[in-house]
Amino acid sequence: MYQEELESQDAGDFGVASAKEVIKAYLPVDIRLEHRIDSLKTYLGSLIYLFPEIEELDFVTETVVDQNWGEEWKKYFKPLRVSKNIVIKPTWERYAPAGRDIVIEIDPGMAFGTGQHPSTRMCLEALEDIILKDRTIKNWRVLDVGTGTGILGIACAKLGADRVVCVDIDKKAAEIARENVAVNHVEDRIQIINRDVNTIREPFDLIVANLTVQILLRIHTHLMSLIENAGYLVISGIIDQHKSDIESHFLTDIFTLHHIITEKEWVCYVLQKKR
Amino acid sequence: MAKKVIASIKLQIKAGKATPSPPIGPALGQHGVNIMEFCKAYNAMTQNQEGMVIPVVITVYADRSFTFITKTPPASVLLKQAAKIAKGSGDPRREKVGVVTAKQVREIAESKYNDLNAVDMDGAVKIIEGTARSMGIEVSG
Repeated sequence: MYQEELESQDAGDFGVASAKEVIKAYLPVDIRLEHRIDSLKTYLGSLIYLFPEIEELDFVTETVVDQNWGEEWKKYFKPLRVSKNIVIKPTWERYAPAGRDIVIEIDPGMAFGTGQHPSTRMCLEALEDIILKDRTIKNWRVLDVGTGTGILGIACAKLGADRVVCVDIDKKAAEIARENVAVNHVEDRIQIINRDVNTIREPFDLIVANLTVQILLRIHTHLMSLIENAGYLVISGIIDQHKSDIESHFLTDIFTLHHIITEKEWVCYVLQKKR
Repeated sequence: MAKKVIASIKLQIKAGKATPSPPIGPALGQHGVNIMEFCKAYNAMTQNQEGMVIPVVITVYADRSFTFITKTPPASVLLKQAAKIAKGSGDPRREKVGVVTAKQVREIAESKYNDLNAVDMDGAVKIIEGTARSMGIEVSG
């Protein structure tokens, strides 16, 4: 057990300031802790015997308070303009909107989607472009797959979509998304569902899925079947090395490439179903 | 001007299984890295190698943005696989827990060569042999 933990969770932390190498291992504080530390000392003693060239081994233990690690970085999360009109604002920051600004308030908690990641930012840009430009669709019905903080679904509602369904298989993400929906006052148009997307059966004019390549490939036929004719599919969370996989599965006879957005190594595809 | 580096952190994480709990939480949280964003990126990069431990070196910049590169699985994990054992010895001086062949050691050294700080293949083999000794695994032949 203890060896397993070391193997899987030990963390070598190269302090930049010191030339010494430090290995940090995180052990749970429980009744076996003493035993684990003793075993570790035995092991290190054994190492010094086997490798006499090792000069010295300092062994220090320190109790780490299990903070809400999701909070630490919050200090650095500031209001951010992610597209022409959309500004993402952490709930705890102030921002004075100008002109046509669409402000989305987000408290990400431990869920994904602050708008600071390229995969999210590109989706926001694509959604804004589609909903504001395509006047042929009047009452947008949108599905956000793997909603995380709810950021993309909330953006769609604020851009004018009539009905937005956000799904996430992670219960915690669904809770956080619900809170963010309430903060943004779009409860009347957004439904958060804590289920697999495969249980969703209704048609949509626009589906956005910021996931990973593996999951996108697993659910692609289902996603494509839910889109109305002339509807859109936005897929993101794709690293450029997987482009060919994505293209061979998503670019079919009935789906045409509308456009591609790229940022660093991330790629976002906007596809449109033929009429 | 190049972006200022404030930290360089090496972690061993199971492929596709990064979460904000220790060690990732404390290691990255103290530098102001958005942990969920890192987890997503790491899991996306490593999803094809599930079941393996894929070390990662994360570079954190002054603006809290970060980049990372993944490395080959640790020698200890590859040695455990080669010796078909679940874990290494807790007292490698007295207790030997497995055997690998010199050929297996060489194969591991070759697969990890780019990540090892070795001048040549013999040096790389010596590093892997050292890891084996530190785990109570003997090298035969």
